[in-house]
Amino acid sequence: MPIYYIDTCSLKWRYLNGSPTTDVNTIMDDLSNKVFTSELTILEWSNAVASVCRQGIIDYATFKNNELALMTDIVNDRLLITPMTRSIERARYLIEYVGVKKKLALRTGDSLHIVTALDVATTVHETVTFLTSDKTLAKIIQDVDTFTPLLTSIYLAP
Amino acid sequence: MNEQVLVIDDEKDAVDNIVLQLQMRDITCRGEIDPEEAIERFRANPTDVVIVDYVFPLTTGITGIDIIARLKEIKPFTQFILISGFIDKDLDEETLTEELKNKLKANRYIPKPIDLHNLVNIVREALQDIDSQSSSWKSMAGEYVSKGSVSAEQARDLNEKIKEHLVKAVDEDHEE
Repeated sequence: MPIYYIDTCSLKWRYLNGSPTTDVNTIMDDLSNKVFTSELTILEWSNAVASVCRQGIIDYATFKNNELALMTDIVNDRLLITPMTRSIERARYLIEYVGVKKKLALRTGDSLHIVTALDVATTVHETVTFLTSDKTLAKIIQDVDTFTPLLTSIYLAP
Repeated sequence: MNEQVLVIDDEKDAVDNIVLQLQMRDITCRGEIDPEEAIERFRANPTDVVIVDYVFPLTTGITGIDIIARLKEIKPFTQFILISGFIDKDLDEETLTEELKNKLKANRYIPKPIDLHNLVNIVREALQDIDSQSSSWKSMAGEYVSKGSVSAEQARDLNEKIKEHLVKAVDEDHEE
């Protein structure tokens, strides 16, 4: 059973029309796949929609409907949420290794996504394919040798 | 800090007494006597459990059931305990009629006059329920969609005209 991890910048294409939408839907709607994401994703999506609501571009009802769309995918097992237990502690080590020793620009949020994906991989004992629309992040996952064989990445160009 | 329990009753002495009893048992708690202020503060700082009286002064135009409905809109995954004189103290929850339960819309009920020992036990049960259910996002999501779900396709249609704004918002949040 293929195991995926999707970050927010890719997951957004589930709820927006764009180049990656077909790929994201193909993966998420295939019941033979398991698609995981972090609790952080729920927060990041809510924050993005809240930002657009704050600017007066959408109303509160649209904000809630976007939230409901994410929750509907969770209820229907299209998206499996991984808790962030001790993720911050582990992400800090990752930042030190990737950001300082390897000198690669790893953002705070991305470090949390990676440690969560690693958590999934070690729990399911399979390689997890990390779906992202962030080219830099996709490359970091491919280039950092310690992520192999737990993680591999697919870049979904926006 | 997020308190575990919110008490809403227009009688300040009743609120203070319940809050004190819970705090003495290491259950973090806050009290409100104005329903509208209570609802507004809940938006910013929701609790896991809400204890609310059924009856409020007519001038407020609100009942405890109205308060429960409005708080549920904000945070569906909340345990509600209704204090109600409708419930005879000798009548336990199992013998409440389905009609009364549906009308009162709470998870649990406490008859008046309040037995504080009983109240503390009921609050502890409610907190345990939240703890056991909140370990599952699927359970919590189920509460959110209980009044209606939105498919990904519907969301895409909804967001078509604002797509660029949402893309920008996600990407900006991503930048450092």
